[in-house]
Amino acid sequence: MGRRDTAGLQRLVTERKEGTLGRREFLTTLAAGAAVVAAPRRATAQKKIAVTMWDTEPNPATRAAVKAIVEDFHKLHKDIEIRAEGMGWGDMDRKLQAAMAAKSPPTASHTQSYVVTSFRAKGLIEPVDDVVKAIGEDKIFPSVLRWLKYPDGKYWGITHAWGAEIFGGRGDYLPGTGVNPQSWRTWDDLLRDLPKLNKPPQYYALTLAGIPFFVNEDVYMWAGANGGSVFDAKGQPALESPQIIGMLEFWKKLKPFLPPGWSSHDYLETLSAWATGKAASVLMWGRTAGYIDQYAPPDKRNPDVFQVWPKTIGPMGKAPLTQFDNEPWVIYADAPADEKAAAKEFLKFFFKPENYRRYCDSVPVHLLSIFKADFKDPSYLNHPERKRWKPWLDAQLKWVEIGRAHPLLVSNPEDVLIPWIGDVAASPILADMVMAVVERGRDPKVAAKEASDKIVRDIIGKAK
Amino acid sequence: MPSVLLVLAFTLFPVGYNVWLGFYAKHSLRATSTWVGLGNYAQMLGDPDFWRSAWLATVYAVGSTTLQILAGVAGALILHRRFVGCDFLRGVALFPYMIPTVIAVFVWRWLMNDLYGVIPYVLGTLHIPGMPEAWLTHATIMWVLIVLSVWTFFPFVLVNVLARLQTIPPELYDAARVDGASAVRQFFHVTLPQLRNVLLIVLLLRGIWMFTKFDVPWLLGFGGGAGEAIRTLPVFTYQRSFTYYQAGMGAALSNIMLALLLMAVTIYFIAFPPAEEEQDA
Repeated sequence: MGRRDTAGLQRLVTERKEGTLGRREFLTTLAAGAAVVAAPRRATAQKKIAVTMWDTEPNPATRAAVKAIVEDFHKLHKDIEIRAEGMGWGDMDRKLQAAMAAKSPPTASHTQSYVVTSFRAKGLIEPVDDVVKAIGEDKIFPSVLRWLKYPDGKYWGITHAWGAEIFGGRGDYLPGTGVNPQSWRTWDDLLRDLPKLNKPPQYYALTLAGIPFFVNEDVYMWAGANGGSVFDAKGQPALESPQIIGMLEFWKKLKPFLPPGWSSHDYLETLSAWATGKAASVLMWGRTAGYIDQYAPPDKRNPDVFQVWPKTIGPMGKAPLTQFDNEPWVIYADAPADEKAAAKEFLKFFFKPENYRRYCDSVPVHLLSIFKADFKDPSYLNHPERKRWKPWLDAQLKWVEIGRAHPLLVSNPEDVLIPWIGDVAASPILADMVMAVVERGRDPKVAAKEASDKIVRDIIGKAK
Repeated sequence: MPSVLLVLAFTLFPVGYNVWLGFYAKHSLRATSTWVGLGNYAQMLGDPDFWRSAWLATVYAVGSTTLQILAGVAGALILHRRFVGCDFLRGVALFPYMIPTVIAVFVWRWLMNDLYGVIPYVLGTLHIPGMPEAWLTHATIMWVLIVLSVWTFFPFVLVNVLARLQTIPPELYDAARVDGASAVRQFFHVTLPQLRNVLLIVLLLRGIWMFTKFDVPWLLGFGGGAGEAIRTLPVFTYQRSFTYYQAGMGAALSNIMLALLLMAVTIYFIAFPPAEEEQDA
């Protein structure tokens, strides 16, 4: 309280003591004075709009890039404080659940494409059309944008960066085997050659992750590569379809070429197995380059050894399918309006070329730019890591260009609209089906029916 | 009064809220809920996965508690004797219990990894017929879980039993020796009766804790893949709440677990009434 305010208060108290001011007048004047004094303070307290933004890029290089972008944003917007926090997916899921249940979500966060559908259906997020338009709708890959534009014509998220899963193979294991992976087209081609690449216990022909989330990834990709989908046109499970049964039979045939403990391996274990030479092939992302630099012998850290092999199709499929890492930023509907507006302002700043490039360069072969022009820009393509792993970059770009990179559990494009797709992805039902067949010898038709019944009863039934 | 408020706030309210929630269908991400009465309970009791999880939790609790008690008593009997380095060993014996669970489990995951783990490697060099190539699989992961849990938690038994052993009057052993009792007879007729009360308490506590143990089976198997074979009731409950997003169903499962434990404790106290224990002591 300033000196003038104090003097005024003292005069008021004196007048009251002297009886020149009535009790009611005294209190009214005091209240009015207090309001006047407090008003500027409230304004001061509201000066900074705190925006909480959770992302799923906790690695140090990306944290440094985000911090630098946030600091630059703060220089321009002194009334906004961006609180950017990076965390792993598991932490994000649990924190989000707790925050949503308490109706206290962050202002914005990364999430999965299928979660956007679920959150949108529940009214938990709001559109970001203004952000997309400010960034430049026509500058972004259509196959990146398509997954976040819904039938209402609105964008419900904006992809922070993309990546496509590729099939990695050890080129140094090929000599003397007579195997030419580039000739593979079908599952039968792959199964014919896997025995030649299998030298247990030195190394195994293929490694897969057995943790449910990653099993789900393979289920929908192989279902799609066999011409099927996890869901039918009405969003009901289609697990008893010939395409899914065929996929389960294929998985059984892969088992002899997997490490014996594959069902307990997590995703990162599969990457290190490939990098250290314990597996001849793996389903992987651009991020794996970091594992290779960490674990592979120095003379092998190149794309001649760590090659891209083609993904194959099942007997009922027409084209292979890969997973699209298309995680978007979403804005939460329950956040205060000023925070939402500030978050959108930050996103517009984040996607400015000079800022966005810093972000993408923090994991150069995995956090790929959403802007088409970057893939023709020498300053982007000539980044040392992108140059070094060019075959990996080209393979990912090809998937996006041919439109066969789909988000998790989306075998057919319309699957993305199924409201319970996120709940199915989060549950262990599909992974249990695979384990029942591959590890416990259950008949694929029986396991598929059990899984189908569970989805209907435990997920779709509960959603009604 | 403050203690009453504390009990209300931290014990009765959460339990009461959980009981209330068990009567609702509630998505974990939504603030709204729908009354379903006993619907959650009816569905669970008719679900084979629930019974499988209950069975796995029982196997885990019985197996690991039994072995913890055997290992703890054996360790306490060894460390009860005075020998060079026994004080050091008493300290070392506590280490597994002091290590954070997440670290203990991840170290065991590495030790047991089929590609890099030292234990499968060493066992493989022994060429024992029928020895599994990998241990973190559907067929064997329960064994790993039990052994890991015994290693982590047996020091609790050891410390309690050791403390009791050190208070047994030496005159009892002197009298037994005068009567010509062998070491084995001394154990069964002097030591074991004296340990009875502490063992009963340890059995009760460890049994409850192992039946409700979540972190170890979750971190070892992540609730799926090979972890499906160690999807004990707490893991199943967690998945209902946080992966199926069925908060009401998860609450109902917790209530079922609570009811099962209350039944077990009641049976326990009928079998071993406290008054009788005091007389024995």
